[in-house]
Amino acid sequence: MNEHARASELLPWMVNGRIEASESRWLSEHLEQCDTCRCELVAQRRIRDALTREPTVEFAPQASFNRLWKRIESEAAGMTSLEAGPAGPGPGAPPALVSHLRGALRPWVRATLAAQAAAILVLCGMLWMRPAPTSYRTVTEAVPAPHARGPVIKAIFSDRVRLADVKEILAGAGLAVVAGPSEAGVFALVPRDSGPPVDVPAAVARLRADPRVRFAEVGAQ
Amino acid sequence: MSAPIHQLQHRDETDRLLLNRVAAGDRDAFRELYIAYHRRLARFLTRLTRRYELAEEIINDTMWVVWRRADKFRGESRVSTWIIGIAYRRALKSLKSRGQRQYETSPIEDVVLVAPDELGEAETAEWILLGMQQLPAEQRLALEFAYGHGHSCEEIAQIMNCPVNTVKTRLFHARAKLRALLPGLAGAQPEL
Repeated sequence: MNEHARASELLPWMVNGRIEASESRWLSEHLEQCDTCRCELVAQRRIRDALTREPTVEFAPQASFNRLWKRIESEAAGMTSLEAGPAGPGPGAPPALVSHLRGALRPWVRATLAAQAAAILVLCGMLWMRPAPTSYRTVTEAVPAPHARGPVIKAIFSDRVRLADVKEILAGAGLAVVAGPSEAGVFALVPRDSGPPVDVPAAVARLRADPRVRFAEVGAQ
Repeated sequence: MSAPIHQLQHRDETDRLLLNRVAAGDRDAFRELYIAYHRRLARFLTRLTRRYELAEEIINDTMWVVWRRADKFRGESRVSTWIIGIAYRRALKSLKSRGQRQYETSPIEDVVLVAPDELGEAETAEWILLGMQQLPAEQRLALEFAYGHGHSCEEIAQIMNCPVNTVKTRLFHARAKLRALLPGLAGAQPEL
């Protein structure tokens, strides 16, 4: 390998700081007398600067982490129920993984999962107890018309919220759940069929003021 | 800018401590490791996929593997090399499954990206990244790992699961193609 080729091969590691000390000394001497390699060094530093430049997009790692953790928790819950069954772990569940996931189920995780499961059951019950729809709903129909006594409110509750909290929040605002949660955790709320008329903007303001509600707004009609 | 060696060693020691706790099922340690790697992974994966939602999907797939296999890490490489290696394989798998063009060799002979005479730092970076999009994924990623992440040649070989000479070849071709695509990259006026 001639000097020029050797220098060219070493340049990336000088640019990223991972070059060996002896090679760095040799390359520095070569660069002093080689215009071509000096130009190449400038070019490579520009590429490095472009690749280490902070992105203009603002990332939200905490929100991404929360999504991943939910996935891990739900998988761990599934694995636990599998393990608790009469046949024990199935062939697709290596014992080490089961043990690892079991280790992940700290008491607060178990409590959260139990609360979530209870909330899901009761919400399913609430939906089941609604009168059966008497007519079909078209795809483009944004509002569940038979139950809507005003605009639909979209709301997302805090991850840690319990069923009792949800009931209290809804009762306080005079609202009822008509749909949800969506994949993104959004519930559709409308004023209750019974009871006094509900001031929707005031109900939204009340939801927003509640720390157990992460998001609330009047949805599209 | 690349971190000095002693900083890299310190970071790796911190990562190893976190990974040990992750292996024991420590959520807080996992969160800390996740946050530490999210930006680094998001930066190169967003550039690679050109879609933030897809990049985030790959990040979470990667960190899901980290959570599940933390106890299998044998310590033969830096933790960052291990994690970036997982992200690399996940990214290639994702690109392949979507049949994205990034994975194929682009017909770069027909493209020359001539920069305007005076570019600011941000515009220069955009211009270079535009040129990089014309490179095959393997060459582009070799540049990302070397310049964007500051990995050594041996570490990149581990990440990409290939011989050291293959890394050198990929870098060589990537640089040569960028020179052809981006006349004036070293600051000189392009030849007419």
